[in-house]
Amino acid sequence: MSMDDDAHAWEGLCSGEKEALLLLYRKYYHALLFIGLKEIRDADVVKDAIQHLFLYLWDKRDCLEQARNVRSYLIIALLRKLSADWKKSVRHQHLALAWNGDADAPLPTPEEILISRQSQASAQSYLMLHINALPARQRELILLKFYEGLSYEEIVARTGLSYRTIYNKIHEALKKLRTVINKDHPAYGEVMSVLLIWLTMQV
Amino acid sequence: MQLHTREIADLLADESFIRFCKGGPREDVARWEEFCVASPANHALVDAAREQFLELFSVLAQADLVEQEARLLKHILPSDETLVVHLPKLIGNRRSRFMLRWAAIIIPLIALATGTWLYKKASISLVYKTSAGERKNFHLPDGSFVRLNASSSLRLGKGFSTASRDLYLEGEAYFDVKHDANAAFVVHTTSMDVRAVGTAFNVRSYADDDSTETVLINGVVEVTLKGQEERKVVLRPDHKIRWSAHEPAGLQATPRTETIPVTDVVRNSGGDIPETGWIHNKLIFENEPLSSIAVKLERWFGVQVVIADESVRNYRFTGTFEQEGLAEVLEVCRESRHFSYRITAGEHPVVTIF
Repeated sequence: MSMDDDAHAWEGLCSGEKEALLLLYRKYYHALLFIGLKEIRDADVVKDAIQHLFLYLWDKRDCLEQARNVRSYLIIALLRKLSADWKKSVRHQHLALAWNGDADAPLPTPEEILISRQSQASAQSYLMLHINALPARQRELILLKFYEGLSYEEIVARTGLSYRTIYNKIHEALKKLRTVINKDHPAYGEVMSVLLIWLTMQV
Repeated sequence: MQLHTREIADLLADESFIRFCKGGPREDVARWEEFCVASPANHALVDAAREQFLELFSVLAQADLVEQEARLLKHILPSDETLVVHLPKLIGNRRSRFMLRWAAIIIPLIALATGTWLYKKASISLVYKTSAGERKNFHLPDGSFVRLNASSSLRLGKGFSTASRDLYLEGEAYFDVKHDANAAFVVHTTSMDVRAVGTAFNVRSYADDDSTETVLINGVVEVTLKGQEERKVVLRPDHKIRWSAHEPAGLQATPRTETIPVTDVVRNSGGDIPETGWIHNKLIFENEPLSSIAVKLERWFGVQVVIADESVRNYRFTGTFEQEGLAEVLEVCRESRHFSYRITAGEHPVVTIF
């Protein structure tokens, strides 16, 4: 994906193409999330800010200026929003001024590079289906650790649970999950057994 | 690999290793590179563990993106589309730490058997099928994932996955659609056409009940009602829509102006959604009359169920079953309200309830 694609998508957005907005959203969501998470260690706050940013772009699509560097524009707009001068910048300067310093745009985040977009999305979704079938607490723990990248201390602080409680809650369900997956989709049995052992070690 | 499981788990539990996987601080990278150099076994182990981490991370990242995209779509769709029926309730999950789900759109469609819906004019190229009592997973040619429930068949339109992705479903299926902006993913059934807007979803359509029911768990779908092509409904998560393709007798001349009944999906006491339990191999009854349970049992176990005593038909039962066999399910139900049954074994087993 090049800057040309971005410029093209931006044009599409300005002329009201929903698909162009979604294209930019899909392309930059993870970059924005993980850059935001470096500033604020709360994924809910960052995700809300990203939503608001794109809804703002959609609402104002008729009067957006041309973007030279869409990535920088989005990142800087998000960081401004997160640092609470979002409203001020909108009121005084119009959003267009928010990205003039495009030379020092943040580099790709490690997390973006990790995400293998062309990998077997359909097979992965099966794994996700089963992760989603977990009770809320257990799913949350896996997300915090493996996706949002929180440390153990941060997880304990976030959930208010002790390691022991966490372990007790999830151990039994994961065992069951592994059985189900082994039966339906043996290739994922191993991932689940790794998870199970990982969790066992957190006591 | 199997032998390494213990060690892979050790690495994944190590915060320094996770930082290394993300290309993190120099000292972490140096530490694990040193570890790799020490022996080929170490190197293989690091590669395997990193693979596992990437897999998990990618799954979670994609699922999150799909969910967030659906959330965005919920807000921009209504102002953008004309002829949209605005549904009454917005799910407010702004702080939805627990809500990350693969965007799953669950659409059970129960339609009258007309036998004509198979679209004779459409050239059909590929058919996936399950028999009674059987559930199977498939990957479609475009990479989308399908879990097909019992007694179902799914036909792919000719040229599937190039210019368009049309599917014709009878029975029930969970769909996880691989995104492709250039080829719309549309599931055709007797009573509704269901179009996935950008994400993943699941569809079902059985031919022996009299109304169509669509449940949306997550994601966004656009539903076009047969006979009402000018009305499109954008379903929102945790809503259910019920519709019949066939006009009630005697009303043929009257335009159908009734409101489309959209209701909330209700989780049972175990936290399951009865409509979608089958995906996780759960057979769920929620205050359901025996007459409708009988149909579920027929599909689930591949048997024929006959209710010989009319007074039993309206007995209602609630329960969730996972590993239980047919007789166990019947026994459990019988404990809450008594009835008798007889199972005639054979190639086509018959259960008689009286």
